[in-house]
Amino acid sequence: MDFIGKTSDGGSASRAGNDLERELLRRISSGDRDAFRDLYLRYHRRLARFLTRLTHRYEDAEEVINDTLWIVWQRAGEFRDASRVSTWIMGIAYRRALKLIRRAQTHARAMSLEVLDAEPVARDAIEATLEREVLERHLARLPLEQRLVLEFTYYLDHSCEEVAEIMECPVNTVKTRMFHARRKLRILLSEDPAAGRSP
Amino acid sequence: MSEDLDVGACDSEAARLLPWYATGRLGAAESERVGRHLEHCGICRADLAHEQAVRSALRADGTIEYAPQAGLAKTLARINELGREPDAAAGAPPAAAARRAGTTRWLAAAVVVQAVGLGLLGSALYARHSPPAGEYETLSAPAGAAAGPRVRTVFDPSMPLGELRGLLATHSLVIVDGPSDAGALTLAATRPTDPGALLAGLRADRRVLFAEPTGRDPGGAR
Repeated sequence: MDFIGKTSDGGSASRAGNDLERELLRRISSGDRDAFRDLYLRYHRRLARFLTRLTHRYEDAEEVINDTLWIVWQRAGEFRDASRVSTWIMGIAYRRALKLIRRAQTHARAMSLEVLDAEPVARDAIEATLEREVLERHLARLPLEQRLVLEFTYYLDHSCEEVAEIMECPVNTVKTRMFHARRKLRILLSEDPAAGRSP
Repeated sequence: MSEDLDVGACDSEAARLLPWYATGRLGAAESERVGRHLEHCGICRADLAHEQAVRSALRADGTIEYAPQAGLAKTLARINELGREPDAAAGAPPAAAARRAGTTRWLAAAVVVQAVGLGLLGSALYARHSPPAGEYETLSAPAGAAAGPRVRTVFDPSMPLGELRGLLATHSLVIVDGPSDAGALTLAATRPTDPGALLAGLRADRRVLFAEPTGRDPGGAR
């Protein structure tokens, strides 16, 4: 029995997206700036939101995005088909983000507490916004590696094996981090009256 | 995961795979295993519903719209700048010079690290070769001790100085010019070596963000 109602064309859409990005990389490796522009725009949105959530500063997120895509420009010719393009690019973004976050960890933590304490969730916000903001507040309290596994899995739709490749760790470590992330998130949400409805 | 993810009575591996079942990113065998487990495990069915709610909340569209054009323009400028240096730097108009003055912290950090490295390595070379007073090397002068191919490189700005020195020693390289405005160093091999192999070796190193032939040596790296 299928408990999640998967769409039947999800896999082929993903493959088509990967084929397109592979072709963009091939063109980038020969110095095609139009291809670079296309790839940059494809990745900016998904990276911007995810990285801003991690760093709490759009300026930091943009620094990571620009560094990441600049490295992609330099190394496009080194991409091997063993990975999906998105896994390769996310691996680069992950390493750049980790450096930036660790450099500014104290500041980021202070920012997260300060901002979130000062801006309680608006009670009249639409339900979807309320849920997302409540969730993001608690995500920010998870250890970085656990939060990243959740983000890579739920926001960026990577498989367990791809997350392991991105984070350069064993698959079992990914499963364990996810296990602990889910447990902590469940506890945090259960203690938060604002999260009464869902998730 | 109800009640603190207590999976003692469950197929624990199936319970651990629930997040990827929820996203449809499991292989066929694992997906079948989780599906079979869910048929008779109410706890995991409730957990799956919870994970789907978490995922939906995380993916809900936010109100913030990001404008990629400024970052794209900055990155393209960085690419263009690297592609035309170092000749452009010599005759740069004031506007370009002013723009460079506002380059990112990344480049500033790279310049600091590389400048320190240049100083130390230069001192070591000076001590070793003791050239007569008044002699110095320019890019247009013969390479002297650097008899091999030349490459232009950019290193990871967070790379410690000791690692930079180790990397140069590994490839028998010395710094002959830089850092440029974009943080690029020109390196030369101290012994004849295959240019392609040298470039491949540098590019394989994660700390090397950029490695290209300078085009100034007749048998230079390609």
